[in-house]
Amino acid sequence: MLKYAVSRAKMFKWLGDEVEPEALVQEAIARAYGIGTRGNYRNWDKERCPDLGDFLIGIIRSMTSHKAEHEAEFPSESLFNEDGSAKDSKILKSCDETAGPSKPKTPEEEIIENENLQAFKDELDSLADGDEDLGMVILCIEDGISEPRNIADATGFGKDKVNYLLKRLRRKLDKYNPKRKRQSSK
Amino acid sequence: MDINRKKYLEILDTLTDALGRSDEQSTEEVLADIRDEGIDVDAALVRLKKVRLNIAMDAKRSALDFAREKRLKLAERGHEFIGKFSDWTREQILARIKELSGPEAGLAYRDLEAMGTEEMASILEDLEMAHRSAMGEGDDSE
Repeated sequence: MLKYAVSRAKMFKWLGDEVEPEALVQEAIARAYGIGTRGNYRNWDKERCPDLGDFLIGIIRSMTSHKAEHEAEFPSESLFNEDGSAKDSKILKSCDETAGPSKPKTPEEEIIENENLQAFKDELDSLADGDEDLGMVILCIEDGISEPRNIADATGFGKDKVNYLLKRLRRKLDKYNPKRKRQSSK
Repeated sequence: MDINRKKYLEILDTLTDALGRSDEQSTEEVLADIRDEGIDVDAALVRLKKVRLNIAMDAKRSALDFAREKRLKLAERGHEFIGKFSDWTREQILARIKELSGPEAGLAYRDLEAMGTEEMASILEDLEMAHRSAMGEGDDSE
């Protein structure tokens, strides 16, 4: 779940925002317990999703998806201290006042976000042009295929190779530096 | 700037979904991937376990607050459920609280055993109410 949160947090970073991965994990846990931001609650259907980890990953996926803006209300920073204790006695109720990534964007922020999106797409295209195998994986992603086993089916690569290529892609993209929308809020 | 914003966002969605998946990876491989991101996994896991416990406690308190509100409403209406435990012994009440709350009850109510019997009975009423609500037998008066 933490690995998934780290990856989803990068989506915001690449758009010029900042979201702490642990804040995503915390919000997912809180929603599973029925005390998410603004009362958000996700009921765990154990028959449909027997694995709790998968369920929590599903929460993170849906709340960070650009398609589900109504769910995208979560704090961008951890509400807990380094030792795991709550920063505020009200814990997640204080999220209501927290400016998360769902906060309405200013026109300037929208421009920066669009520039970042274009630059990011250019970066992906450049990586695809420079490495045939990586290009195949990127093509799958552009076609909406995200599960490694489906990428393996589509490319004919073995699963280990797909995982290796995804790791390589992740490391290469880590070098991509987006413009920041806001100065650090800390 | 004329970009296909929706399409690019979808690609970003799919990409971060793919990069975050750990299908068919061993635990060691997943941990290595997280460490590769510069994260102190051991510290993060310890922290998240504590956070989960804090959230669980907060959720339990919220559920009890909700149940207490319902209990008070029912008491106002003279519901037979309220006061049911006044004849119970302290040991019976404590045993039932632990039965309904599980092992986390001791954490939510660290001073449970130091409480007065009436206070414990009141908590038990809240727990019974929460339990009945969860079982779908709850308040039918609203």
